[in-house]
Amino acid sequence: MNPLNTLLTVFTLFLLLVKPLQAQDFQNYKPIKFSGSIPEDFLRLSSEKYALGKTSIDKSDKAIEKKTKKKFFLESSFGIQKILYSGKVLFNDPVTTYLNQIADKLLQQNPAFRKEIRIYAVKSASVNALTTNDGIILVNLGLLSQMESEAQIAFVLAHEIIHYQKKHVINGYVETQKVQRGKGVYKELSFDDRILAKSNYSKELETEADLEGLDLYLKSDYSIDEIQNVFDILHYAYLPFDEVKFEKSFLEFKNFTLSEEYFLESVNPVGSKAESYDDSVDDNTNNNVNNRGNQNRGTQKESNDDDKYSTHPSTMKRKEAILSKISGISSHGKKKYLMPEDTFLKMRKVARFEIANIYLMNQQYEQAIYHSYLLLKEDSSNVFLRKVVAKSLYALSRYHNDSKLYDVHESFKSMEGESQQVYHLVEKMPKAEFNLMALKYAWNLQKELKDKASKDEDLEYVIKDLLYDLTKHHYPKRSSFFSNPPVEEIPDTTHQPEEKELSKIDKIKKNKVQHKKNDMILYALVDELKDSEFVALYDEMASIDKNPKKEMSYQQKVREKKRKRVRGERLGIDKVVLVNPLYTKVNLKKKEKMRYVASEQAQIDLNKLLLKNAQKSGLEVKLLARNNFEVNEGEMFEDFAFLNQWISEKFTEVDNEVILVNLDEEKVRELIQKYKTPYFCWMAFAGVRVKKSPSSKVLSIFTSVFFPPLLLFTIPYLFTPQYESSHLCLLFNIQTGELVFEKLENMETRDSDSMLNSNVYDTFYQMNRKKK
Amino acid sequence: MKKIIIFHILFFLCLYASAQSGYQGKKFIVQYSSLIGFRASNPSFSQSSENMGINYTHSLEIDYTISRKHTIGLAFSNFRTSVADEFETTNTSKRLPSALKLTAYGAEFNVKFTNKNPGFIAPMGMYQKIGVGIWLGQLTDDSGTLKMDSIPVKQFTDFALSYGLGKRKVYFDRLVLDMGVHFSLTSSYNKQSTESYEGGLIRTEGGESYTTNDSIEDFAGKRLFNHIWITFKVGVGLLL
Repeated sequence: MNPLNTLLTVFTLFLLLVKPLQAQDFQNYKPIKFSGSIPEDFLRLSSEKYALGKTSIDKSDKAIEKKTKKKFFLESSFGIQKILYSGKVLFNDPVTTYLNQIADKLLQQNPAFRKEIRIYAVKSASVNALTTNDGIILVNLGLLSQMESEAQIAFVLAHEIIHYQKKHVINGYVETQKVQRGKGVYKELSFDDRILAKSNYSKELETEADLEGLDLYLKSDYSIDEIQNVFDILHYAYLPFDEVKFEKSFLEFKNFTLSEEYFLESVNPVGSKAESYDDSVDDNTNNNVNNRGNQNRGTQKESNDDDKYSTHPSTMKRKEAILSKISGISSHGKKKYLMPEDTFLKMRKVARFEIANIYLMNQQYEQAIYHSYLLLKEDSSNVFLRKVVAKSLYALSRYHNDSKLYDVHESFKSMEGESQQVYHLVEKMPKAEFNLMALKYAWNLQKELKDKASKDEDLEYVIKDLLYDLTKHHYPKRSSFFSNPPVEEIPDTTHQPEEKELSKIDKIKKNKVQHKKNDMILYALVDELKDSEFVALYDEMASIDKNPKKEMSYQQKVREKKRKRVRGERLGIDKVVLVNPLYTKVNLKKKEKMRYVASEQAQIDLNKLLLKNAQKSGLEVKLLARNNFEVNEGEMFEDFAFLNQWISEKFTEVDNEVILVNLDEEKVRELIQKYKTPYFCWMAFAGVRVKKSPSSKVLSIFTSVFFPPLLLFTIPYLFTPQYESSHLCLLFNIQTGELVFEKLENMETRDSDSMLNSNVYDTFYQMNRKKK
Repeated sequence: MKKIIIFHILFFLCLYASAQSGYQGKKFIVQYSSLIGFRASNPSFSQSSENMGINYTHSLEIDYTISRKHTIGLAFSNFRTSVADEFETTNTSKRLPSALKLTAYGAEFNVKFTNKNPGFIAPMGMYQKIGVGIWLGQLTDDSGTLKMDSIPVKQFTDFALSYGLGKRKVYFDRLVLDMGVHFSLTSSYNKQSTESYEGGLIRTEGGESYTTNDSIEDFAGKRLFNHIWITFKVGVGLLL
């Protein structure tokens, strides 16, 4: 056999094998996890970064400029650290690696400069990228999910690299401060003119990044044909990655159809709100990562040309500027892809799958449904995506049933494009019907998985909760549902003549049909009720006592509170995982109230103090804290990130008073198994130096004048600083989601070591103390 | 004796019943305290009443934390002072020939409530104290005239109720600093000793002896009250 033929055969076989394997990856997609070694950027202390930043300040600068730069380095060093530890900035993952490879191609000719730049992917749905002053470039998965080629990503990276190279972040900050102080050329300007001046300076930087970024891009082997599309993508970035008609059959099942009434005849045309997004794309400041993405899409209106007060020029203006610069330049020999196209497609798919999950976790349920719907168009059997849909429907149903839908839902009127249909459906569908739809979706999926012997535990809880709600709010008894399908078809009444045009008999007939139609949902469980497992589950949920426990009287509450205060709790817990304990130091007497450096040192000391007291109290404690990770603890960082997300979800649920089951039960189980405890604890400490009120000072002097013995108290009061400190502790059983123990102490005293020791030991002691 | 036994049984029962946290598990405090009283007219042990006097009471305290907010304690106190070297009646001013010395020993059982501020966990932090105690006073004349081989001229007992406000701080997880203000009310605080005194405690014609009678005890009781009724406390102790 010809060796070439052999090679081709092997290659073809390889492709045939690899392709299905790749497809299989997405079938049961698992969200990206942190692993391997933690990058230096995460491990280095912010105070060290700040010290390093300060050394770069030019000694010949004016005093005020030096001060401004110092402030910048302080705020940015600690701000970036906060972003890095948000659990959304990825490392050692395929997307980050891919982005860095593109940067390698861009800066192939300047390897020394390339080493200064570190790129990370961010788990955020917003179409955004940001650069920090020390060379970190953060690229949101939202941006990657909308890009059409590798070259387009390269162009965005080139833009961000210029921001770093030209020190735009610090320059922008210094200039903004100058404008705010009204110094130099800004001295005579009015308030409005100052805002305009700030905006103009920012736009200048953006234009420079665009144009010089283009120069950098042109030096690479990437094709210039791709550039103009980047601006179009950014222009419509507030929309999902595709615009496909939402079919009602997507949420219909056997014996369960959706009325046309729940769907709009026509959706708001795309483009009416596109301009509003211009301002939020491509942010080169180091603000916190906004992970709710385009949740506020369409809430601001701005004419495309009116970028007067915006920090960025409008995308169309940017596009024109770039196009005029590249006109006449040939793309000959340049490529859309310098790496295999498949890699780009795979990375984009990863980003899109991640975003479905991000929407779910961020409680943007309608977006999660529509986004998954778009992806399911390509692969209708994808389990991961269908789980996202099932969980989104479940959460919406829960909020709907508790009459808190608007805590997580935006009016369909403010939406545009096909996704508007999902918002309309959620808003118009009655609670009972929605509950049934969510139940049927989850049940059918679970049945399918069960048939494949891959029953999902998350869905198990979701189904139980949906059945619980159904029996609590709508149908307490299973007998309410018909067990046989309807005999006659019910005509659709959606397009009937106006009410006033109908005769009396027509109206009576219409009402009868409407009643029958309402009864149709009673046929929804015809098939399910034939399943003994479903019946058993229904009966089990129906039998649960749904009357809330009788609330304690006021006196009982006071007594209970006092009892706890004096005696403390006896939880009998042996092991606890402490997640991200935080320490903040504040000085209210100073203009710069936040004491960043002191807070970081206090944080480091706190980690030691927690472990010391845990040992003394006999409680086994595992610490997952910032400034406490070792280089090779990437997996622990993953747990840290997950648990931070978990607690933020819990807070939102508590705020909204709607409690959901764990939406990632598998990970929860894994954590419990790994750490051998279901108890996870969040702690926060604050030490505040308080400003004494002038009136209290005057009063104390005044009273001492008339009664001199009071000087004994007045003098210490006047000349000693006043402090307050707080300690918060929340202990959760992550298996049940129950808040097992809470402690909030506010003390009018300094956050001394002994005070901390006393409180921390007491907290651990209460957790560990055996039950009687 | 019976009362003392009962008291000890109760005290140790409290210790046994408690299974509370304390400061990092340390529940015992052994502490020395100095209770300082600034007096405008009363004399100290060595100074006459013309000057501003500082009265000291020394105290050894043993505290035990029984709950997150409660500490029980025993305090053994002692002070020496002069009773008075000047007194006034309604129309005359008389002077003792030389200072009459008072030595007092006190024992107090107290409970400290660390409830002033919710964040403090006993034994640390701000507290209010309520105590009951007994004082044993010994009056001696150190002029030598009636010394009688150090046998006290007069002994008396007094009961006291005390209330205090204070703050305890811990350093190096062991060292305790305790500061506060304490008030005591003794059973003889309102005795009109100066009036009773007029008839008895005067230099005799020969100028060589005193008359001791009940009025001296009353007078000394009032002095005891004056010594301890308001004091500022500074204590240093060890957490065990």
